[in-house]
Amino acid sequence: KTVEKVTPTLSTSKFLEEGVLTPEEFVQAGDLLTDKCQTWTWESGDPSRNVSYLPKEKQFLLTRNVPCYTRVRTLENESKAAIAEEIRIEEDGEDSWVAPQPTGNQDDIDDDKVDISSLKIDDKKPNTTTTTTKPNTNNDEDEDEDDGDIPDLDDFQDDNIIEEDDPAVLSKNKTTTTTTNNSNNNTESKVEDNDNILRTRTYDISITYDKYYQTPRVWLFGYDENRKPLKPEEIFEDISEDHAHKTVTIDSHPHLGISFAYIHPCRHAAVMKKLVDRQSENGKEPRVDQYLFLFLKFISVVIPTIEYDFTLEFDT
Amino acid sequence: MSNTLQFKEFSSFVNISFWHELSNKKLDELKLSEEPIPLNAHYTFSPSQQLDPFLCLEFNAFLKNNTINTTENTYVLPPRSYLSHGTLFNYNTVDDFKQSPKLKLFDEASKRIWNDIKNGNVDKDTSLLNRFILLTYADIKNHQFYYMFGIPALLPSQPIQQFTEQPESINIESIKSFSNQSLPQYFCLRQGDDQSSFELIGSIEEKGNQYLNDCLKDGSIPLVGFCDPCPLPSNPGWPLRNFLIYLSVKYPSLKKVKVICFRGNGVNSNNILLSLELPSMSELIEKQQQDGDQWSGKSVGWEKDTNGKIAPRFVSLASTMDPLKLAEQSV
Repeated sequence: KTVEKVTPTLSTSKFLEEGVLTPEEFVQAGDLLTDKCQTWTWESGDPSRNVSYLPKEKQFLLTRNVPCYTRVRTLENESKAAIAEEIRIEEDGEDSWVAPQPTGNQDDIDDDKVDISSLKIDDKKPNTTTTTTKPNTNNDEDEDEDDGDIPDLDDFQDDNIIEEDDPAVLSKNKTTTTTTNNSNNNTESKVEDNDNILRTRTYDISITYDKYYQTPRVWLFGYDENRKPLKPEEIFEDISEDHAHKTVTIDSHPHLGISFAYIHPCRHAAVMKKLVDRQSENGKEPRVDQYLFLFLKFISVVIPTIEYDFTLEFDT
Repeated sequence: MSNTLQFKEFSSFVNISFWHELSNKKLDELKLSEEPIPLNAHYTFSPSQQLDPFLCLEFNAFLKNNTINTTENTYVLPPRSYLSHGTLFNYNTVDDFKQSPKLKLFDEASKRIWNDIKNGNVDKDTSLLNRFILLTYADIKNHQFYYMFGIPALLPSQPIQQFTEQPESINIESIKSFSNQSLPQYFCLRQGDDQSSFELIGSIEEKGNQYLNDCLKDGSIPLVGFCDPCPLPSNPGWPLRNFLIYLSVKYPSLKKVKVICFRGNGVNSNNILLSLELPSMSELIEKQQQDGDQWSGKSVGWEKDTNGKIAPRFVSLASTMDPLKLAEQSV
């Protein structure tokens, strides 16, 4: 933070040389992203936290309610290998950005990182991944430790509010639907339809401009199947294990003042430089306004199961 | 055969930033006040066919809608999103929260919707059809929140029927002059020469009255549309309910209507066309008039838990708000 205050704002473009962005270029790239992918929007955030080097209404980028159907661990090795091949980044050096290893993910898991047993999912069909990794009971115990006593919400049951049985409501669960009076074939089929609603994790992803590293910085905020905020350790389940505890940490979001997990930007510029160079080698003119597309493509290595939109037809 | 139209309820989605804002407000402004506070929430098209329709509350929910004072920050809807007007009832203690007059508050919200329909406010602003109430108890010390949502839908005397077997799925490519940015919440359309092409006439506020009266005159079935947060192939979302009530009250001779449930321009959007028979509201209207023209009918819309029970929900944000826990997490 303090360093950030004394760091001068980058004013000349060093996109091609160093893979970094000026605030103006960040805005340019953000404009293209919001234009092409309507799920991304510019946000102004908390006005008292506005930064002067970005337009007031373009302080950071946000995409809401991005579905995340499976945990990283359940990803098939093949798909991972495919991504890894696509973006093979520096693999030398101690603190280099780690690209996911195509093989052997299941084997070299650090025991202290995640409780593996809780992550086993029977997922033959993608639809069955609805209910999470953990049974609810476990969850409650967890929360007891972390978040204090969980009240018994049955105490809160207000017997006065019993709602009229309404045949025109598509209920959330089967038992209540089938009790409606007109349980003809029609209702039946709707119950089935209702089953197609998948209760899945979702993420809000935001991109801020990091003045110190002169790159975008990605923030994640997750919600579980019941729209409860995910705890940091649960968010780690959606980050490829190579990155989970190395490149992702928690800090206060600069425009919202709330703690989020973020992907540490220290290697972003170097990786972007590589990708830009590769574009040039392949005879493509790298365009600074496409920076975020390229950037998000490489971020998808870190968060492979979060299905955010970054589709723009272009080659690296 | 009866073919009752069933609506998919909203699921509330309270962003963590809302709870932060509520905590701050409680400390700095509200203190012990239990006065109702206006809120703004939004809904948008479902990003995936497999997600619930969400009613979202974010940190900016407390900002006012249209302030004349330009120095004040105003509430800005995210793109492609639609407004729902809310009222927050925040209680100081668990017991106050438990004993709050929930039925009365819910009825009051229903009455406001009815009054806005009757006195013509909805003609000018259809977003008034979407209201919700939020009851909360914020235990700021422990970063814990209890809450209940009510999203009222007025009930007609008879459930609304479809006069076709199933909703028809329609092709979005063929709707002319639809641009996502400018699509109103409720609108009317015209069917083109070719069966599958549609053209936007305008919002209900601008063109609705003229269009519907024209349809009544020449006896054609009007075609209206709304932006639907629900992705299901056979069911519309909650925002259609009060809109249909509005149509039946405002145009008592309107018996049939076709409704396009517009779900966005995306590749996976799943637009459907409903053919509906509107119920007669005359009985209800008469009854209201006897009751001093107040809504005394029934309404539904309390948010249920996963077991289908109407019960408060609970969220603990200790892991993201407690400074001690945060210190542990950060590297």
